[in-house]
Amino acid sequence: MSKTQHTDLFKAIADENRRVILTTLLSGEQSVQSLTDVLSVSQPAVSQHIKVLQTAGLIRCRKDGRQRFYALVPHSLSELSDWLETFELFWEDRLDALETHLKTTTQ
Amino acid sequence: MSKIVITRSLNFPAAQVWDALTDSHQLSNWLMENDFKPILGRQFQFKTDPAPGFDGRVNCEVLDITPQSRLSFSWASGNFNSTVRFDLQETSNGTDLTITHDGFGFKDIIGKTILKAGWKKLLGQKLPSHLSELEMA
Repeated sequence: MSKTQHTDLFKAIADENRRVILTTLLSGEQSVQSLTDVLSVSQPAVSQHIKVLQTAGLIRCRKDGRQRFYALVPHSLSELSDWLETFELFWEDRLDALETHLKTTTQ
Repeated sequence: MSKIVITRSLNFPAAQVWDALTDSHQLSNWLMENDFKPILGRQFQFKTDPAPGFDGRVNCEVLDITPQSRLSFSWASGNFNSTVRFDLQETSNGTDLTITHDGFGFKDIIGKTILKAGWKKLLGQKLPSHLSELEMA
C-alpha cells in the first residue's frame, strides 16, 4: 500500500459521519437513501462522504437498476491496522535496541 | 486521533536514559541517524533506509524538552504528520519509559462500544473474517 493511499485512508476515517457509514456497512450493503436515514445529514452530503470513502478504497458501489448499493471493500480496514502494527513493531524493536545500548554505555 | 502507547521498564537511572534520548550520537546508536539537538524548537531529521512508499527521511521539531522527564517532537514523513513523546518516570528499579506516538488520524473506526472489545483483535481477526464472508457471499 502506498503512502498516498494511507493518507486517503486516514482522511477518510477522520470524519465521524464517515465512520458511521462504515459501521453501518458492517451489517451489509446499503443504498444512499438508507445511509441518509441513518445519518442526520442531507443526501448530497452523504454522497460526498461516499465519494471520499470510495476514493480511499474502503467501499465499493453496485448498481441494481436505478439504485446504487454500497458495501465495504474486504480487507481495506485491516491494511490500516497493519500500518499501525508496523509502527508498534518499530518502537518495540527500537526499545530493544535502547536496552542494548544502555547496557553498553554502563560497562 | 489514534495513538500507539508503549511502556518499557528499564533497569537504568533516568539520567542515563535521558542521555540516550537526547544525545545525538547515542540516539543514532539505537534509533536512527539524526542531527538532533536538545533545544526547544530545534528542527532535525532522522535518516534511515528508504522503503517502498517511504523516502527514509523523518522531519522533526522539538516540541517539549523537560530534563529527565519528557521529550516530545513532531514526526513527519511524506503526508503523515504525527508526534512522538517520551515520558520518563523514576522507579525503585530504574526508569519506566513510555513512548506515545500520536496522530494516526482516527479514534474509533467502527464505534467505541465495539472498540472496547479491543480494536486490535477486532481489526486483526473479526473484521477481516467478516469481510471475507462478505467477499464469498
